[in-house]
Amino acid sequence: MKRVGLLILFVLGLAAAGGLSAGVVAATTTTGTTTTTAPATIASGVTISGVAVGDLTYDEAFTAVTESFARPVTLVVPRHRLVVEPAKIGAMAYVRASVNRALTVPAGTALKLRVILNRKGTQRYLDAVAKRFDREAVDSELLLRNQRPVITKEQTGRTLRQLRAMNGIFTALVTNTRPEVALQFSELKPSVTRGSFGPVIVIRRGSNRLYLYKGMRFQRVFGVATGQSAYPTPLGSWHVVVKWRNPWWYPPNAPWAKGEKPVPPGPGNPLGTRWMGLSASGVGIHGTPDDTSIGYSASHGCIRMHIPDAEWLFNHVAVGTQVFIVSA
Amino acid sequence: MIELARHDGRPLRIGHRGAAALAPENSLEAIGLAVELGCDLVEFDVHALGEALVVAHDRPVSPDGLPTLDEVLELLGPTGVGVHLDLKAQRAEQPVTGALRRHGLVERTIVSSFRRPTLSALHQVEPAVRLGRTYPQDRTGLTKRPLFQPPARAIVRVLRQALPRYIGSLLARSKATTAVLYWEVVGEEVVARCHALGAPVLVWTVDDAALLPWLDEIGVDGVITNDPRIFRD
Repeated sequence: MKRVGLLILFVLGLAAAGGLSAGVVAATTTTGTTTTTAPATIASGVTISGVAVGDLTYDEAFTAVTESFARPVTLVVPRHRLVVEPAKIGAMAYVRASVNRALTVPAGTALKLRVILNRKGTQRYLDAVAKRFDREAVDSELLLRNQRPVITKEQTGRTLRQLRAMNGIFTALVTNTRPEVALQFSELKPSVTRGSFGPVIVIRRGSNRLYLYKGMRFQRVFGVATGQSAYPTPLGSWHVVVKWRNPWWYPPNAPWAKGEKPVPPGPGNPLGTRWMGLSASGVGIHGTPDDTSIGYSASHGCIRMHIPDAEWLFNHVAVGTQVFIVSA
Repeated sequence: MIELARHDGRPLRIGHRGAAALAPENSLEAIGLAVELGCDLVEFDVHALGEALVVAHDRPVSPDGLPTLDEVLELLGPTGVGVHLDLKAQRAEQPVTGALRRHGLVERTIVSSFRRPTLSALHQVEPAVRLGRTYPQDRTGLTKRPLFQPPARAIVRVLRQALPRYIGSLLARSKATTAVLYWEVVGEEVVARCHALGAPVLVWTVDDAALLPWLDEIGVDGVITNDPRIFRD
């Protein structure tokens, strides 16, 4: 008896390892004590997660369910369709167990296919999808083109909603249905948009004019005085760093100001009534009592304006306003 | 209606396509410069592209990058400067006068055109706007040719001699009350004839400061220039 038992175990092992048909297994497990014959086909009307396996043999049912589960999931992105085989994302189904069970159930039973999902494998796949379809948000940038400010258009970015995508894929696999899964993205808003830009100043040193723009739109032009050749107004991209009403004038540490005394606010003040200091050290836009210098390269580096013009400009710019100084 | 007669004052200073000598013509910058340089009026050209009214001299292919009429009127509105709108577009009289009304500029604007139907139609839709007849129509680029070119010189001479005789009907038939004339066809006689008809005379396009005393002398009411710096004393 003992030897027979070992033999049975051996045969069982072979069956498991070699995937012998259920019929054989069923026959062997009778162990000779009974003579009941296992059914060769599944009862009519039985389904496994929607796959009709009624009246099929084990082999036929196994193939049908395996093929059904192996159908790919289709992911839809605008203008693209991605086809994912379940095996690619590490998903598996207990086809054998399900078919074995199907052989034992009465006609008309609806069985569910047990599916094992692979979170890591799916995540890896979705990471690749995200890498392909995610877009960074692009901020607007302020540039100078043909001596006019140009503000590039901002772009909204997007990032794949990976959890939703995973849910969609898993639902398709678990229910063994294959509806198209529309991938969803969250919008990434750019932090700087065209609308973020306020006034922009362009100073043309050669023609001694100051142009004020509202974003890209020209607003006003003023005659100014800029630096004489010994004290040129520095070219480049700067911004307003301070705004002072009725400023004091302090003599800078320069040869031309040697021996000069500070001048309090008032009619003769060299800075007029408004000072808009730039990030270029020591340089600013200011009013001047010397109206005749306007239109000439006459200053010690600063940008002089008629006093009413400087007062008007003062009210239309802010600390942080971009100031381009070009040579034209 | 905008007052253009100089009476005893100096001729009006009018920037041509803004201040075309100092910035790209018909750009907002050029128009702003004309204002800054002390012009009494700023002249610019208007084309229609579909629904859009854009400011440009030659008919543009696309409105991209061009200032719209609305933008220009918005810029000029608060300056108090007069508007000289040269209407190149045909069948755009309604939207143009609509824009002038919207910006409250009908009383501060002269609309000029080479085309008689354009002017008549403008008179129909907005009798309160001043109309200027531009003459002669420079189809051939005549005024741009070197001055010494004999045929052009001859044509100009003939026009100058004949113009006083037909300027009256030229204005009346187009319902214009202002003559907008190429400076070389202008003389004392034609200015006097226009003034007798109550029509001011504006001349184009004068970029030479040396001509100003003569134009002042014969009594023109306004000088259109690419470079308003010529008016500096």
